[in-house]
Amino acid sequence: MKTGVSPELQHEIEQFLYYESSLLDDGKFDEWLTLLTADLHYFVPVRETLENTELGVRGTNDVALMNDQKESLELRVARLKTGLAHAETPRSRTRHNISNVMIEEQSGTYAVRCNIQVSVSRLEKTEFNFYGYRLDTLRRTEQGLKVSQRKVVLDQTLLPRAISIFF
Amino acid sequence: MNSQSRSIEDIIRADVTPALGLIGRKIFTNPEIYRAELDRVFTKNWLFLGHESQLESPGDFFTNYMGEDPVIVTRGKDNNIHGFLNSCLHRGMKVCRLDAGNARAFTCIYHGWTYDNAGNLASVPHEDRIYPNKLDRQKWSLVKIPKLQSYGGFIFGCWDEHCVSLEDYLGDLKFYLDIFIERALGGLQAVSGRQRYECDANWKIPADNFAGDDYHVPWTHGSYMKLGVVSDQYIDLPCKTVAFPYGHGIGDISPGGGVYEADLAIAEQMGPEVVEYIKASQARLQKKLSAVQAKIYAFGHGNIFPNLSLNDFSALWPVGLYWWHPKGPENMEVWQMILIDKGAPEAVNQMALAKFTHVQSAAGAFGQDDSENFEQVTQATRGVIAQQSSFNYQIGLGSVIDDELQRQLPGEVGPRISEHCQRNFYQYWKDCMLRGDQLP
Repeated sequence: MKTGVSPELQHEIEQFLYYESSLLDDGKFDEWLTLLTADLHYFVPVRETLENTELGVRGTNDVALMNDQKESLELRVARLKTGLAHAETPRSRTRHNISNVMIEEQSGTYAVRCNIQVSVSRLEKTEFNFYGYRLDTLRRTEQGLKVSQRKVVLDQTLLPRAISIFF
Repeated sequence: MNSQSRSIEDIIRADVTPALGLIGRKIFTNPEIYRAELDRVFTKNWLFLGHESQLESPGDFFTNYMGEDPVIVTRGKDNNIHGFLNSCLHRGMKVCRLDAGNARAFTCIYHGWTYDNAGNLASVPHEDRIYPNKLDRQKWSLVKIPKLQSYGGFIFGCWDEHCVSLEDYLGDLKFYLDIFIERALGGLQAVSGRQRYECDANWKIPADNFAGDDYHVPWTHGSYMKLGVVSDQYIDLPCKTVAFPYGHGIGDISPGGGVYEADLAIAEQMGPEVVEYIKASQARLQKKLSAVQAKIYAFGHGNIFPNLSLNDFSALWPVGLYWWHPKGPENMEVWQMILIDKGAPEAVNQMALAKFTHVQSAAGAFGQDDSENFEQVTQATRGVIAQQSSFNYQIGLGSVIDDELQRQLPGEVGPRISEHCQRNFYQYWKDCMLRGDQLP
């Protein structure tokens, strides 16, 4: 990946990512959805310990943890709002930490790689941790920056809990 | 009597009374009972290991667990399936640390003992120089799973050489398993990748849920009912639950039909290729099995004792397989994989993958909400006062079984809302735990 976009662009994109993750931590899922393009692809592959596949990251035709379009993410959010999504009612307390942001400009879109670490505290449980890296494609629209593709590669083969949050 | 001084057999005999519909709570938290069940349940019964389609070529292997014992399952160069304990006979190191792959041999990284992919000890560094009394290599081969058999491509292993055959163990359950095994036009194929997550729950709680608990669906999965993803008629559909010897149980079975017709309606919106596929699946069931099985058309959900749960909601869903791997009395790992029909149109398999991802995956709606139950049940069960009351499994106790259906269908058939499958699960669990122990 070529690095070295301007400090202004680096700052703008980092601020966008921080804002986006604050919406997730604050449970503002409808607002979060407005930052995703209509043609979004959101993919969380399964990770395994394998010898030859690239660090054990499975593909989109394999069993996926999440493999969503915008519409299906909207269904997940609608489910949370029913009041009957028990794994998130009451809601888990999450903290999305984002670091090591690297940006490459590609004819009007931005390929962004960052590390992600999400702490989840739920009911009386002190902490579950999910961590890995994210590959995003951001697009500039009339409403500002939006995410059009997101691949979340978790480092854990054995997850600490069923996934009831967004990354 | 002070419970501290009671043997685990005393506790089980007094507290686990399925005939009364009462199951005491200590069996979900007691460390001694847990250690005993790893032996009396997990080494004495057939355990599901994986599907033959995961082992297509000689040298292919995957690792898994039987109880807390790590195992490797391979297709050897002789093209046969082998299974053995994943622990070097010299100092106990795991000889394979991968989830899956292809290998001619497994070399222990500790001292270099090498086993071929049938588990035989093939070479030992400096063997001639360091064992003046000779090393009997055959004796120091990896511990073989003595009983290894497949049914319809499903590989099971058992540590007990004197166990009943797999065919007899599955018994009448095969009538229902055959439905999804035979319905697949091109045969079932494992989709690459197994999902795994930790769940702070006793393994029996999800096993009993899958064995026949249709009652929980409108409540636990109420979010999807509210959104119309699951029919709000679910609980009123004329479905059945069925119990079998050896503790197996299934639910969501539709002997009156309806599942095929629902698939056909969806297929019509997807196009002629899918319509043809659904009709061909039905025709194949008619031809290969019986009219009754063709009418049932899909398996529903169930649990093969002790800890393999599975579901097959229709030809537009994958076959979902769920292991509840015990990791201590109050902890387990959920491992899951899916199978699809190699002969299905691409659109059907894409739909099946999407359905799994949204509903049953580690990030699926059902998986999340079920886990919340399993964990919080376990947590609210360990206290002193909590352990003084039993769980109530009395639904349907004393009710008359539907005689007409009973004549058509193998197994002990009950209504949709019933707990006879769970009572059957705990009765067989109790039999395993007290086997060889003097009955009162």
